Amino acid sequence: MQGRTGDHACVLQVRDLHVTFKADGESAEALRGMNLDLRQGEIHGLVGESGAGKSVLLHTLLNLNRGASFVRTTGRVLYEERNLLELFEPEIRRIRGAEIAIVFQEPAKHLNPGLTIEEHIRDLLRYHLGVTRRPAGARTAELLELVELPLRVLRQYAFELSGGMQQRAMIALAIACNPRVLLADEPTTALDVTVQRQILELLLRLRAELGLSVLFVSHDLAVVREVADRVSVLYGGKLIENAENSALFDRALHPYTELLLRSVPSAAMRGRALNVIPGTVPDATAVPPGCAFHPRCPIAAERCAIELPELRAHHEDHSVACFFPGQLVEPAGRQG
Amino acid sequence: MPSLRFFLGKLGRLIATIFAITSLVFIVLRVLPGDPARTIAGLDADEREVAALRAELGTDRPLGEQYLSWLSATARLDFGASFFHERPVVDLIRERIPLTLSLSVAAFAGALVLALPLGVAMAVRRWGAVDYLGMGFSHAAMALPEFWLAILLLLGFAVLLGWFPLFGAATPRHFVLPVVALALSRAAVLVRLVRSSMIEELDKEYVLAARAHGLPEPRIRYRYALRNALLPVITVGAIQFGYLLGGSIVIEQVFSLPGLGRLLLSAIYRRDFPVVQGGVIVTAVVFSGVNFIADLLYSAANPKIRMR
Repeated sequence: MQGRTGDHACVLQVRDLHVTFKADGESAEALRGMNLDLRQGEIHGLVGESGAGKSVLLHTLLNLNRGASFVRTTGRVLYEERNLLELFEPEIRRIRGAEIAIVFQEPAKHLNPGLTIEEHIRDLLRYHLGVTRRPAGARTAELLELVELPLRVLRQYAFELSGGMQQRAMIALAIACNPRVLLADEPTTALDVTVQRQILELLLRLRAELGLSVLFVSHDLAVVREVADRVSVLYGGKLIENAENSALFDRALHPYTELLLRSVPSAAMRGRALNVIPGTVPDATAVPPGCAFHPRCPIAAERCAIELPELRAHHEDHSVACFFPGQLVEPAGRQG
Repeated sequence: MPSLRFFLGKLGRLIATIFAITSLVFIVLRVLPGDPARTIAGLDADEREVAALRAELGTDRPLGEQYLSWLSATARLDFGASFFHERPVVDLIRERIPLTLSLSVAAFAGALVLALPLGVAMAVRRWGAVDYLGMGFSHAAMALPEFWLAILLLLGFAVLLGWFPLFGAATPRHFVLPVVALALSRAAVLVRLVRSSMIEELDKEYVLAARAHGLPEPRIRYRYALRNALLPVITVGAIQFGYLLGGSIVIEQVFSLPGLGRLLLSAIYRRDFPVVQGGVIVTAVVFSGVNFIADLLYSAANPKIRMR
């Protein structure tokens, strides 16, 4: 039953995805057998530290990897029963931006400094929908209304807009051709906190109005907790935990997820030292054998250094890749 | 559009530059050894004849006086008459300018037509075959002096193959080899600039974003990246065009083309002050004018500057 897991229809499925780069002559596996289901209409939060492979994943989903350092991709990215990784350039181009759109982290850099916002939108409408000048005008106005931007923005350049307005313009571009899937690459990270909230609200509203399925990549747990329906945790190029929002935040099963949650500063911890996870994210050229997290894991056993734990269902709708799920003891004082 | 203040500021600087250049030329011509009166009179003329000629030409007057009268005449756009041709300088220049200008324009257009697509192709496939060939061409054409390239072209295409005439300006065919010689050398400089500027733009995030939006690759290259990559090319292009105006002196000599360059060259040999001065003013005006237009183009092409 392709396209479904359990009772939920999936719009995008990632199966056993490996992506290899070359760094200083050494080969580096940025993604090492990644599996992911993006369900219809959900906001799927993808969490991980920098270097975990979040951006690589988004680029791979659109088959955008290129350049001298890129080596190869294996595995499948299934969209409407087609493997996007096997499509020829003209076919994947019809999907990029039209069916699977993306919003980037730094809108100022991702908008062309030589084009007005209107010229950006027009290009998308023209190449994906073949829309000519006149109808395009109506559509651009409609789009600006959707992202709550004034019409004057059309004639402006990115550098004339504030960070929040730039991100709204970027979102207008992403939804211009009515995509089914929206990939959001840390869309609020570069913004002020108040602006961040407005953009999140906009994304939530667009998801409801347009029926988008959103893959929301972020390193910010608070943001993910707020918007995501499901959350996946990425570590060392693999998913290590996947659950519904409340299940994951209430009872994380993987020690890494648990430590990640504890590392978020809260008002209750005022005056105490910050919880940090000792060690660093493994370099993609030298991922440890066995469980990639074992050198940093407080409850690692001998087995963890040898065998690779697979992601499997722990209980309904909550999967984890760990031999000792849920066994990291809560520190005293956290409950009280 | 650029503001009026921006425009007037540029214009003021332009006039000051032209004034400085022409004054310098006026003084240098008179300080350098060489007496036009003696050149005209001939070697066996006696002192009295030469002195009479000097008085006629006005070169016996004090330098300051000469300068002031030249300045007031020039301000009225009166460039005087040639010492030798006994015709107004303006007429002499007017006859020759079309040739030099069309030579320069054709060569510049040729250089752009070669450098733009080649530079883009080189940047797109960095360290590929096209890139190496293009770099090889650029190195070679920059190392070869223009006149030598011109002589090689003459040898190959005029003498050996006989496809083009050896010298003169009678038909459009006469201009092919000089234009090619000039264009190749200018393209050698421009192609590197286009390449490096394109490489820089292609690595920018907005290019990745355009790909992620599914825009076709030619559109991304030419409309997105090249447009921004051209900004530095405009400025250098203007200097290259100015160089063509001056550099065609040598090419005009090699191909015996009756242009402004050859007029100036012979005037310098004969110390024909009014012609040299007039020629330099015209060249300076055209050169500064081209740079002025380039500045306007630059600001028109760059919204960030235009907004200020």
